[in-house]
Amino acid sequence: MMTVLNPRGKPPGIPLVPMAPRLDSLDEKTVYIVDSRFVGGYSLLQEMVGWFAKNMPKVKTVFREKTGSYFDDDPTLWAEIKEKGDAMIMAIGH
Amino acid sequence: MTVEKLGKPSAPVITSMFEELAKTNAFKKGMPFQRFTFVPHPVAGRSASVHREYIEGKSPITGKLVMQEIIEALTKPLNDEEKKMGFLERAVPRLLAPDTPENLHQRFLETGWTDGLPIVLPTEERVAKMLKGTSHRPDKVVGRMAPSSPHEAWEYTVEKVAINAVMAGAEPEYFPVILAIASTGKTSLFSSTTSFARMVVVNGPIRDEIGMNSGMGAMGPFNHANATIGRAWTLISRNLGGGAILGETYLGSQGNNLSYNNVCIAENEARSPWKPFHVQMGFKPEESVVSIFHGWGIIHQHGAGGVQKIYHRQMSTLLGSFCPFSSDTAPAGAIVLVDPLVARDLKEIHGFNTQEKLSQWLHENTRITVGDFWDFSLVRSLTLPLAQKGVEPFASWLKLPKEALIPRFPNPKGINIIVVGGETNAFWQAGDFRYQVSALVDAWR
Repeated sequence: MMTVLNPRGKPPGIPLVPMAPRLDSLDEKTVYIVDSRFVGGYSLLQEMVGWFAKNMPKVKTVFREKTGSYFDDDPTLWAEIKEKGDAMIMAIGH
Repeated sequence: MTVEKLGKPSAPVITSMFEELAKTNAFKKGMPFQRFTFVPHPVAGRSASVHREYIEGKSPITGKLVMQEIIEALTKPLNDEEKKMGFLERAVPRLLAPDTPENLHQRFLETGWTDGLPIVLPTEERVAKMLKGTSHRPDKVVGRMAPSSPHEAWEYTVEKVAINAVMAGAEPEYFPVILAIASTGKTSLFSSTTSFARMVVVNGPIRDEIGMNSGMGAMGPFNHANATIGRAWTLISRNLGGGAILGETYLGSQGNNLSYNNVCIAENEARSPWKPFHVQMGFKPEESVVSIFHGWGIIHQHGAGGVQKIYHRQMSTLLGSFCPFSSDTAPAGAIVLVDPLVARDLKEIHGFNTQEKLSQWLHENTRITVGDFWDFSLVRSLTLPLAQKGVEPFASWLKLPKEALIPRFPNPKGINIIVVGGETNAFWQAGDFRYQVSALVDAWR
């Protein structure tokens, strides 16, 4: 029998993040539809904007492309959503 | 997730290929119940009519209508699990349960702690012997490593690096080199669907001290130090760098065979007519240094330059096939690995008496039209945002006509020349590898 050391590193502890309360309905709400700028996401989300216009016209959609590449943060956009939006849908193409 | 923290519900939409990755990432970032909706894969390269079908159709994961799932993600009340707060510890025992060598080998293999090849089992005795290769305490933190920027970074100690160095079959005298590589925090198994590879070049006295190969066969499987140092980096990246778990923290669609050894070589300083790479980067000749590069492949250029020995023009042709994207962390670049015979011809026949002159020539003479440049999908994803932010030269390139010629590598410093080889013939190889960082080996002796 043999004893060996564990080669695995220690992953960091995880602080749990509570999810935001949900909306009763999307009617009369402002939903931001955000393209993370990965390839193909723009076209997919344009179709989604069209779907809302046709099927749920009481939902106000605001389309935005995130600044920078898909790696970049966009605090300005998040602040705008916090101030003016009620919810966000975000797509990453591939 | 940021938006959730701001009190607004979110509905991320991902392609079905990345279900496991998305859910695991959400767990690691503290939101294990984030409400994803998955559409068919891929989205990229598909027409608008296909995207409409995706939106109007069903999720390939749940079978529910995509838009119904998205609306529910934003409106269905949270359950008790989703409301939970707290802190999750993820402890890792220092020792594994005792077992037979055969069972331990099997466990290491099945758990994904190896590169698929047999390893040296890291007993306490072997690890203690490896630790004698450095003056640093076993519990000293060496660095932090993540598979790529969105993933969590794991922190690791000298002892953990020693364990993986033992597994790779390295000797204690190689350990300062391995520690220097680990200290950069650069994984050799970068998580991207493109299947990246990494490369490490060693300079300075340590090369001869530990018997590294910079001459004949240096890039091949002929030297213990080259082989095990490169391999140790792969094992460190798997086990200390957040995992390299297929589908979760490693997404390379085809993988990269260079990842077994990461092209671990020593530069042939003695036979080079130029100054060593680390001296070019500002280190002293007597310092021992590791330098990391990041790219995808290396191509050999057959033909020993012909009668005119026009290696530099051949290099320009080959470099002209590399993708010219630049990101804010990785400007466009290439690496040229020249046998000493080639280096001396370039200097004596063509007047390139420094690598910098050769890099400058390649920068000026390896060109691409503006139209072709902006057509690369990686350029559009990564370089266009820089141009739109006003970063030069890309911002100016947006205003040029499509037929205008621009340098494929905007900065000559992005083209690095390394001398390696044993002079059996005047060959050279080049790769789309970009310089990342260097680290002092001497700091880890």
